Parts: sequence; structure tokens; C-alpha cells
Amino acid sequence: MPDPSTDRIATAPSRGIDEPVCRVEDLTVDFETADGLVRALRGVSLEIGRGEILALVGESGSGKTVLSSCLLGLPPASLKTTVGGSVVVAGVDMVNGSDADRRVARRQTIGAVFQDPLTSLDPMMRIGDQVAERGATRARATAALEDCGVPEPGMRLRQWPHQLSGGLRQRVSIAAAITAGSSTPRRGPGVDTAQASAGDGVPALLIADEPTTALDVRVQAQIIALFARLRDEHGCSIVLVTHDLGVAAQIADRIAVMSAGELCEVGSTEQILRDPQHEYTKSLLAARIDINRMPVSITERSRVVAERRDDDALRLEGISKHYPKAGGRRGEIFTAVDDVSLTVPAGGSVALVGESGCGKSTLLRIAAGLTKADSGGVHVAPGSGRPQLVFQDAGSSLTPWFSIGQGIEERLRVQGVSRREAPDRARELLAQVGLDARAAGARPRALSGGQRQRAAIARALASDPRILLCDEPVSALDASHASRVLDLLDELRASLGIALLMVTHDLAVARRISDETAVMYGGRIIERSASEQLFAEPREDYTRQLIAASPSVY
Amino acid sequence: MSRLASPSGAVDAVLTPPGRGIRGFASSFRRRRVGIPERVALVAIVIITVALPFAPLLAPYGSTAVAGAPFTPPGIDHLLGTDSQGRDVFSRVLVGLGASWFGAIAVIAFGVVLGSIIGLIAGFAGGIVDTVLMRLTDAALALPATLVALVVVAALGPSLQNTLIAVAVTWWPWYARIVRGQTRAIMTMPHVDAARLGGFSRTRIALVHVLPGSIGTVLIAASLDVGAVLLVLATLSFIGLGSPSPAAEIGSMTADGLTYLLTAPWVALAPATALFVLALLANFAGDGLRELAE
Repeated sequence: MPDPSTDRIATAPSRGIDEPVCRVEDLTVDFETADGLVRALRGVSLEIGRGEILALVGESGSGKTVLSSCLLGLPPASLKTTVGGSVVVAGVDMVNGSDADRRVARRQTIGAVFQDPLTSLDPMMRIGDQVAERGATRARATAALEDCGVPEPGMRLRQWPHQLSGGLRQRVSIAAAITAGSSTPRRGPGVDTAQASAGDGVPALLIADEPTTALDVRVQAQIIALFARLRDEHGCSIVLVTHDLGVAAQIADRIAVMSAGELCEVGSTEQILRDPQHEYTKSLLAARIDINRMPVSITERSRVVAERRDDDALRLEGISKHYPKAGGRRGEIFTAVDDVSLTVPAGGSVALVGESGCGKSTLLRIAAGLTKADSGGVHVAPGSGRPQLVFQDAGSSLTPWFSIGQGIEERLRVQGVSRREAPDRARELLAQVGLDARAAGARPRALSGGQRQRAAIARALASDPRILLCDEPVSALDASHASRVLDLLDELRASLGIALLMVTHDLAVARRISDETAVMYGGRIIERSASEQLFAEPREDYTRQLIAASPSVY
Repeated sequence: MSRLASPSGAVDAVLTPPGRGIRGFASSFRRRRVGIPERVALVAIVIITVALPFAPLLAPYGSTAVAGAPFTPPGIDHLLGTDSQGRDVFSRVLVGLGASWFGAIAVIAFGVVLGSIIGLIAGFAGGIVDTVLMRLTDAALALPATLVALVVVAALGPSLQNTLIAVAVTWWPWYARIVRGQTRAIMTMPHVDAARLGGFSRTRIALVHVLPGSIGTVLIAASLDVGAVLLVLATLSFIGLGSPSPAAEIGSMTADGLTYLLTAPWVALAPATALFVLALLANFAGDGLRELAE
């Protein structure tokens, strides 16, 4: 596997922008919604050169996805939308051009890869048919699958999307995207056929919207390497939409930073990362939780707390959990958690890292008492109260028809707080997590992602727990919110002595928050040690792979 | 007819977005997110619901009183003419519609309450309780309304009240299935796990953290069913299972009028058309409610 990080910055300038594949000029997109006009894009101008990877980076709501769908000539149709300006891809205006022209362009010139390959692939269509849908031969489809690193491509042609893993599915959808225009090129009235293809039937422009966000880090690294190869071997231009500067840093030639519908800054990857000009870019970089850069204060504090601890808040002993195997024969079982023992010291923090399906979330649910273990025991230190859980999707963890205040007061009432005192106490808790007292009257849907997670933490605190179990608490949040929520959790640990057990797929988060890190693989804990030691000198090969694959801007 | 008329089963397990309360509905209505026919129907249904209890007062003549010569054609004195006994058809239609309308609403209300209770228990408890309750529900669904009505009427005698009982007995399972499906779906949501961690009783979790999530869906389904129930009630009355003559009932009035269809068509057509319009309005209003909820 070629290392995606080698030398990309040095080669960037040599990729000439002689004739851009795509030119965006003064693009504006307005949505009419129930709450008034939303200006999704405000005069964006951009060029994408031949054979370059341009990363489009921004937080949620910055307009990056709207821009990428405009490149496809598919502005969101669900709302009343007004589009101004122009997007010209290989001679076709994707905004003002005729439907026929744009269709031909989508067929031959542009490929698209989406975040969730399970929903972007047709579940009722065999892999082979999907890859060859735009007229490729069977041999060409097989070659494309092989090109994208799908093992045994001949056999995959007959399979269905649900039979493949997430990583394989994403490879398949990339294969489908790069077999555009591989048939005899159909001449559209306005299509510049000389520009339509980057060569070998690979489309000139590939739009990838968060293509690795749903994937594990090791798979993410492979997909990124695949994009680099498409650029280097086929001269394909790629627009990589991502919220993660780390992913952009690994592969992009240039980075365009978006915020609130505007392009803040466009520059070479080197320049954006080392010498950002725009305030917003600087704040994005500063907020990023990066595995190679830890705020000193936090590592210091961890050590202080670690020395103070004396007894265990939570002890898991020999936990096992089996499930009937999905799609298996009767009696076949899948071992989700295999004889795991783990202790969380009072006031300490332990991170449990691993890839999807390794059993970490099941273990956390068992610790919370939401799932029964088949064997083993969960021991909570006397007087600790019931461990509380902080969920990945804070929005759906809050009862939607309750106001934030109601949810907290309900907990307080169970704790024996009187009806009269409950509202005051609820406001105190909200203040403790950094929320305004007005949030008490709001419904969860009225809050932003970060505010919801704070509200959920305040509600958990209402039950006065000594142990907080966190299930990917920041993975759904933008970087700026994520780092502040992690700081909040660390503060609570320091000030209230609440022990944290945090499940995460993101090693940077683990390193930032935990005294100790345990690595889980295949239902077992394969390595566990003090975080600083684990990240500095990983013992297991698997741990080393995880650390190496974690995106970093440094 | 009743089975096919109810579309409720199809919305099993579809989650409604959490309600936005009366103000949300009102603002959606003002912002014209709802089509013109639905808006007209919603307004009409509100007026009808408010006005129909006063039908006996609004009617120009008594619903069973002889008001003029038999078979007087529609005119100034008798808006919709008179029937074979000389009773005023307009007055009888007004009173009959009132009875049908509130009868239908009573059947639906009973169905929603009973169905919600059974669906919630089944969905929340799961396992054997779920199986038993849902098989009972399936059994009730298999009962044809007409046959149940025949049995009830044979046992208790023909009356509007007895046809209501018969239809209510066969109608609740739709709502039990909707609520059960919704409950199962809501139970998988993290906020229910969070409530379990809060240390609340199972009853509290079921009533406070699960049930409200399905109420919107079941009410929308119910509002779409009102028209269908109106028709079923009229059907039963038409075949003679409702209140006996001379009571004013849409179905029996239509049936009686059929005899004179060629000589005095208004006697049969007036109640039939009135019912048709009311059922149509109810369906449009149901659609309007659903659009408001979205």
C-alpha cells in the first residue's frame, strides 16, 4: 500500500492548473425554509485543476455539501432553491446548462462518492450491475473493482451490497464512480469530449463527500491511498469534502476552507496548515483534536488525578457476551465480548479504543446495566450511584417532547429533590456544563449538537453519578464543540471526582482525555497501559497500525 | 369495505417527528403548506363539529314530525323536499348527519384509547405478552364488522348505540398495531435507555418517555379513518341494523328512499349526497392534518 502521506506537498505545485477541469464563478445558493431565507452559498468562486485533489473543509452547515452537489449539477431539490452564478465542468454549465447536457456530463465527466456507501448503493442490484451501470463491459467492471482494491473482483460482481463490509462497499462505490464514460462516448451537444475523461475511462472529476467518515481509521487510510492512486495514475481531479483537516492533510494538493457559505481561504495544503491567513482557518486548526498535539494542561492534570486515586469506582470481571450470528445457521454464535476484565479508578479516566464491531459499545452497555452479560460481573463501588451514560447521538438521547429543564428536573425529583427546588438546581447543573439558563425551556431540536451533548451531560449529572460512561461522546460534533465537550468532561472529573470510561474509535480523543487506554480487538482487550506510554511505545502490532492510520495535521 | 377503507396498517413503525404543539400547526396553516382543498376541509370540519350538536335546533322542522304533504319536491318551504310520510328531508339529514358524525368520532376515540393501551403494553413488554396481545388483535381484526353488527343486533336489538358497539369492537385493532409498531421503534432509541438509567419505574418510562412519541401518528391515522367509519355506520344502517324507523339515520333514509328513486329522487339522494360530502371533507381534513404534522 503506498503511503498517502509521502511528498504530496512537494508535488502539489508541479500539478499545473493550465486548464481547470472545473470553474466555479460567483455561485450563490439560497434556500427558502419555514424560518426564512437561508443563504447556503454566498458568491463562491473556485477553480479545480487537472489531476489535483482539492479538499473542501468546513464545519457542518458551512455549505461544503451544497457546493459539492452543485458541482454535480444537482442542487438540493427538497427546498425552494435559488441558484445564481455558474459551475462549468469540462465545458458544461452545471447550473444553467440544459438537462441533457448536464446528464451527459454526469454520465461521462463526473463521478460521485458519498459518505454512506450502504445507502448510496442500490440494495436491490448486484455489485457487477451497479459498477457497469453506465455501460461498461463486464471485463471493465472487474478491472475497475480490481483497480479499487476489491479482492476477488470476479466473485464480487455477483454479490449484493449487504454482503460486503463498509470498506468494501466504499471501494465498490468508487469503482462505480470511476467507470463513468467507459462506454463509447456519447456526444452531448455541448460536451467537450476531449475534456470529459481523464483517460482510461476514468472521469475527469470525482466528487467525494465525506467518503471516509463512516469508516474505521485503517480502512480510511486505504481509501485515501486509493484516491491518491486515481490522481497519480489516471490524472483524475478529486474534490474531497471533509470536516476533518487531518484527512485533508494526508492527501490534498490544495485546501479550500469554507464557513457560513463563503470560501474563507484557498491555498496549498502546506500553506493552509503551516501559515493559515484567515481567522477561521486558524480556529479550525486550533480546535482540532490531534493525536500528535495534546494541550499540556490536560496531560498534567491527568497525572495529578492519577496519583490521587486510591480505589476502583468500576470493576468489570470476566465479562462475556454472545449473540446469535447474523445470517448464520441456528445455534451459531458471535462473541461480541470475550472474557474482558477492566477497572476504572475513582476519579480516573480510561479510554476503550477499537474499530467498529470490536465489542467496545457492547461492553459499555453492559457496564451501564442496559445489556445483561452472559457471564462475568459488574461491580460498582458502594455509594457510587448508578453509572450514567453519555451517548454518541446526544439529540436522540434526550426525550424529544421534554424541554431540557423537564428532563433534568425529572431526574432530580427521583433523587428526592423537592418540586420547588428542582428548577433552581436544574439551572445550576446547566451552568455547570456551560449552558445558559434559558436552555432549560428549549426542546432538544432547538439546540446545536454541542449544546445537546452538554444538556445530556447535565441530565446525567442530575442523577449524581460517580461514574460517567461515554459512548463516542464527541464523534458527531464539529471540532470546536468536540474539544470543548472533552474539556468539560475533564473538568467534571477534576472538580467532582467523577470517573470516566470512554469508548471511542478516535485515538486522538482517547489520548486527550484518558489516563489509561485499553485497545479492544475482536471482543478482547489486547493491550492496556497508561495513555502516554501506550501512544509512545505501543506493544501490539495492531495498536501501532491504529496509531499510524490516525489522521494528523502534524 | 371497512377493511380496505382503512389505510392505517401501512403506517406501522413509521416514526413521526416530535410534535411542535398547537403553535406549530397554526403557523404551518398560515404559511400555506397545506393544499387548498385540505384547508377548506379543515375549516369546514371545525364548523361542522361545532354546529352539528345543535342540529335539532337548526333544523326547520322536527326530524320525525310530519311537516307537509308527502313527496313535496325541494322548494322554499322544504329545502330538500319531504319524504313518503311528509317529513322534512333537510331536517332529517341534518339530525342524521349529527348522529353519524359523533357516532364515528366516538368509535374512533374508543378505538384510539383501547388500541393505544393494548399496543403500548404489547410493544413495551415484548416477549410472550406481545405475542398474546397481538394475536388477540389479529383475531379481532379478522372479525367482519357487518357480521359482528348482526350478532350484536340479534342479541341487543337494532339501535344506533348497538351498531356503534359493533363497529368499535372491530375498529380498535388498527390503532393497537400502529401504537405497538411505534412503541417498538421508540424503544430502540437512546432516550429510552437514558430514562432507564435515570432509575424511573417501567410505568413511568412507558407513559412518559415512550407513549407520547406514538400519539401523533395514531391521531393522524385516526383522523384519516373518520370518513371510513362514517361509511361503515351508514352501511349497517342501510341494511337495517341501525335505529328502526322513524329515527333519522342517513343509511336507513337512503334505503327507504330507494323505493321512490324514480318518482321522488331527492328522498334517497339528499342523505346519500350529504354523507358523501361529509366523508370526503373528513378525508381531506385528515390529509390536511397529516400535512400539518409534517
